[in-house]
Amino acid sequence: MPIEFRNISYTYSKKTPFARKGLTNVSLTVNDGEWVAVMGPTGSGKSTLLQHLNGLLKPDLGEVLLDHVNIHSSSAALRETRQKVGLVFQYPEHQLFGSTVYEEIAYGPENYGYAASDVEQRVKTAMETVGLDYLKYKDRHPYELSGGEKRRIALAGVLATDPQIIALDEPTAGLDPSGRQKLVETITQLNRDYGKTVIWVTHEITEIAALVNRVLVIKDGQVVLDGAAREVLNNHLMTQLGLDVPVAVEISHHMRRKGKAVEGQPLTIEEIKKEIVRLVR
Amino acid sequence: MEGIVLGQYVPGNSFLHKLDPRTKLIMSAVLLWVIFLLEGPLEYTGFGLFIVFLYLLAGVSGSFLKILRPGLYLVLITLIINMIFTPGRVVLDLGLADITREGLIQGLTMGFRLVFLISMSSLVTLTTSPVRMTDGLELLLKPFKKIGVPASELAMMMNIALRFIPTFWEETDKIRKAQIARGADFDSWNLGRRIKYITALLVPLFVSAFRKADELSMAMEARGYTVGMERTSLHELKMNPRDYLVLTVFFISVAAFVINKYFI
Ligand SMILES: Nc1ncnc2c1ncn2[C@@H]1O[C@H](COP(=O)(O)OP(=O)(O)O)[C@@H](O)[C@H]1O
Ligand SMILES: [Mg+2]
Repeated sequence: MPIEFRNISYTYSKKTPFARKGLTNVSLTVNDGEWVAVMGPTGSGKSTLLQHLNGLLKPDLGEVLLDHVNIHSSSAALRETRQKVGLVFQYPEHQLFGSTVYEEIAYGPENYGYAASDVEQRVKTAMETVGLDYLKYKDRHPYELSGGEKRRIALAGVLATDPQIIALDEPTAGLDPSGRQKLVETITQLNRDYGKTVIWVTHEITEIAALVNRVLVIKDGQVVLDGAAREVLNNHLMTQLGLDVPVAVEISHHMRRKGKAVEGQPLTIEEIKKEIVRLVR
Repeated sequence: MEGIVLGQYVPGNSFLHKLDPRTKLIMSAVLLWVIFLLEGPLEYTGFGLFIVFLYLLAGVSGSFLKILRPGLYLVLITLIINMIFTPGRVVLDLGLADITREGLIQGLTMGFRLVFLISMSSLVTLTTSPVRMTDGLELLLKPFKKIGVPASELAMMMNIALRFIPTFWEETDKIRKAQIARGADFDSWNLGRRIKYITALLVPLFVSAFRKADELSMAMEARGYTVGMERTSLHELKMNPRDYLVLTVFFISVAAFVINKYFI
């Protein structure tokens, strides 16, 4: 189920003194099973891009195609899109409202009209996926849980409708290291084992650099870099834009500046280690 | 839900922007009272044109309709209720309900008054930055300090409220979008579902409002805010000659209107 942007442009608060460009002529296609990292300075349009994926924002120009169908062609198409493209907002734990974890996670499946038994099964599966024990957590109040747990509940709430494409807006922001790691593991499993397409907006690439197939960089609402993670992350534009690059990339840039002939485009600590060992021999 | 909302300030350089906030507050208070004196189509048209003129003068005419949109339902409901429930000469027979001449007039009067009230009071916030507004209010309330009115605290509360209106809208928008992304249909006709959606919206909104209030009070105290303390302003407000001129012309006009209306 590929999702395609064709020449998308979007302006916020059109025709007011507060008008702001969100996206300008963005075209891209994300294919099945890809894991794309989206990077860019603050205010570059990353969140705006995500909100076009499931039709929360309607482009002023251009169209969004899910499985070759324009998602705004009918209200049925839009509804189906929202079911197939799960969107996890930034700080999703701030949007929890349910009085129990179960109620919170069941919200999506209930809205889409699944039968009660089916809803229960979906909640169970979603909780299992994010690593929350069903019996232990289902009757607890979301607000009494830790930040990391809340975030996982929010993720489960999106996964419960079984989306094929999962888009996450800075999902690890504000989590502690173990929370981050758990989240990355969960998404890795969804991508690798269940073939879900993942679109992951982030400021910190190191934690997923070796996992993503592709990195997309936007600046001022336009795509400026799009390609394999290794190529994009080693591009000098990344550092010029002040974006995070993996430590290995930083080291290799530094060594090259010092006149060392680092070969290839190392991405992981392992790879740069091999290069260093090779160079000192 | 994007764009201008009630209580928002649109930066600018117009004549109205430059007036002292006290001048604007006093004039708008008087004009809000004048609205209730208006009678007959001529006066209503005149006042309407005057408001349009002020919006053009302030360079915020683009915001006019946006400001009115939230109030429009209120106006429509007022209009309909008045039209149907006022007894009098029937002009249109709709079977179940009759529209009377008196009801139509009553409804239009109330509707226009609402529109005037909303657009008039919004004009002040549209052309005055929250900081200047607070200072202006504080100075206006100062004489009442002697009788125990906490002028600076009231002004501060007002300032915070104004400051947080856009934030609150943004938050609402964000939560609403998160719900829609999970299949909520806020336009549903099913009342039970609608109540469920609204609850799902209100709970996180309140939680976030309390969290924000908590954070803000902590930040204010950390920077030494104490209730009842004598504070000075970074930018002292000063009434300029143009303020006195505008106020003089304004009061003469209003007086002329009232005298002409009731005493001649
Ligand atoms: N709801 C909104 N109303 C008006 N402008 C907005 C809104 N959301 C974002 N913007 C503006 O659109 C631009 C892109 O924002 P966004 O997509 O949130 O950037 P990012 O997620 O990359 O930080 C920014 O200039 C931002 O100020
Ligand atoms: Mg963002």
